[in-house]
Amino acid sequence: MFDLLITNFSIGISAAFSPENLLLCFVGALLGTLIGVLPGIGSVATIAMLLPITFGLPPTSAMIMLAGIYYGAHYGGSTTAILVNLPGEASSVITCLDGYALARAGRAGEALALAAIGSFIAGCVTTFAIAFFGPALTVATQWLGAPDYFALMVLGLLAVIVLSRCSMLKALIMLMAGFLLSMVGTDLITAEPRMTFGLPELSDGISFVSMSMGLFGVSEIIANYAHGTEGRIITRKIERLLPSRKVMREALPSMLRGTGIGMFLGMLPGGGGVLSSFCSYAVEKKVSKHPEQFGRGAVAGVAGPEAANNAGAQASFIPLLSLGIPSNAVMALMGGALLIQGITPGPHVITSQPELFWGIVVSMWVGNVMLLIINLPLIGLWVKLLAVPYRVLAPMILVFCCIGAFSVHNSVFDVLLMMAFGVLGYLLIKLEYDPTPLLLAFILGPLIEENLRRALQLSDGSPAVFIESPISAVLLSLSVLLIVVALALDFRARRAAVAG
Amino acid sequence: MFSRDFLAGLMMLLVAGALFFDGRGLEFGTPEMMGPGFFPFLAAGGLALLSTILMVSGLAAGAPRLEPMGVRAPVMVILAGVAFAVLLDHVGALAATVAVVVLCALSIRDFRWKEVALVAIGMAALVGFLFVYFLQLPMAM
Repeated sequence: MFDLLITNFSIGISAAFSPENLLLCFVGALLGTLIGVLPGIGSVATIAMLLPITFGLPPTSAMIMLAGIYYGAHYGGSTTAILVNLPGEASSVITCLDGYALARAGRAGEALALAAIGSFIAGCVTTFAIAFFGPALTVATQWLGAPDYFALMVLGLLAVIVLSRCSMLKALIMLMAGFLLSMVGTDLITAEPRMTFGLPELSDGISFVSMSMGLFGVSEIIANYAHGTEGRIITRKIERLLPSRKVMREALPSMLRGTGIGMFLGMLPGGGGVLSSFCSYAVEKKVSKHPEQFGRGAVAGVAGPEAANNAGAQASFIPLLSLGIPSNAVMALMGGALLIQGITPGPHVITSQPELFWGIVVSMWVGNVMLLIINLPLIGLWVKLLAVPYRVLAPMILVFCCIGAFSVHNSVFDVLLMMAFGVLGYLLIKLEYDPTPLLLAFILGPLIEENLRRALQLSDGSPAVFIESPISAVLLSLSVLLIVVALALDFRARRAAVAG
Repeated sequence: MFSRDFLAGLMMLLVAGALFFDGRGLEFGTPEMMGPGFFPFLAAGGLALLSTILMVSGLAAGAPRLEPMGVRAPVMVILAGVAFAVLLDHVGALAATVAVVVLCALSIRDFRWKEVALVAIGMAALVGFLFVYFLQLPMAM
């Protein structure tokens, strides 16, 4: 077992540690922080905007660069949350609570360092977890047939819906819209164009890059422009960077607890960073001797959730790489990037392209190290960047988005499509829709369609096939149970809101 | 005025309707031999049904209203996209870049011409050097 693990790691190390890949990971982490540090732009928006720059690269290098971008973006988001109290996304909301309080108390540098060190410790532990559990899950998937796959994807999508930021009904609407949009293009069986509105540019389907850049990137620019983010920016001199030994002793147990929580929740479909950081914050508050400090600058309130967030996000690579199921928006983007490279994420990746799988596992750790050694010393620079007004930065970002969308197929149609999705994304924000289920359904749509079609073809159209296969029966019952419980909780919360 | 959820349902109902209308000629088929229209019809039908439920729930008294929307920003961003597309095809990358910067800047109220001009020139130089000259993307200068 250990021999195998070492062999596998050495494959990964030789893939990740080539000079070009190290450089790409470094550039990725730097660019990720550069964009992610901008107020109002979270890691999903950052990754969506930077996706196109990885497409010219071979798959392993592209994924390694994306891992770097992800770490950079996440760290940039934490920086904004701590220094400016502006969370770019749900998972940074928790960091704002105590991180900003620490920053106001003049301990911004320490808070940033704790975030980075917490992420690093979580990253190291989780890398090993992926190396262990990924292959084991892959072996288990050998027994899955078409009905089981269908049921597994249904369960994964429903889990995402239950955990989504908006109401269940709205999340289901986003899911259906994602399915519908994924069917635009040429039907794979009959080669008939479907819902392309007579546009030849849509015959290959809606460009994933245009859609994700528009929905998550351009929409944020519009929202920030329409409502303004100026005037809230604070710039402070960062005095002390490294936390004292006493602070570290206090933070270390929180980081380890956070890592455990994140690792467990991240492996579940629908899990990932957001859920993990919320859980970890709750746990830290419970176990703390001074719960009254939380919200007023508790060290554990930054260290625990940041570690949990990173462990959760990284562990959600396990369902993506072993089952082919992305469990959150970041993983959907990673899965989309793999699809564009011509690789369908799924159980076969680990056997047919071991250097890709193990390269990603190792590069996640490399991305973490890059973050610690380049970003911490550069903190002064990021703080200066925060002082650049948004009205100067936004046009620059928009130009890069346009060129990025153009460069994927060298087509201006994709630029127009991105802008249209940008406006749609802005409307979705205003109407309180969460676009994450849409993105996931868009990625999984073709797979669900294919597996359902195959399952029903083999059973001569009888839906009983989903109950006859025990695995599918269990998964579908779990899905039903999940929906019923969530609906009941939703209903109770709404009744409480009306009564209160 | 209508509530937020009513409008949210209406918007997605229109999306379902538009896609269904364009795909109305696709063959539905049977469960064992699904036609190309099988999934689109199911998904469009599901989307329309759920959107209608949301619209109806938005009719309830006391449903939250829509917060004020920015109009200038989305319009300007769309214009920037159109200008980029047209200018890139017919003039070149530099003009397209300048157009995006200027239109994007116009979408905020407190823009300053000096800053906009500096950003436009800087971005045009960067795009010209990095993307057209160095990376050789297929676009005219």
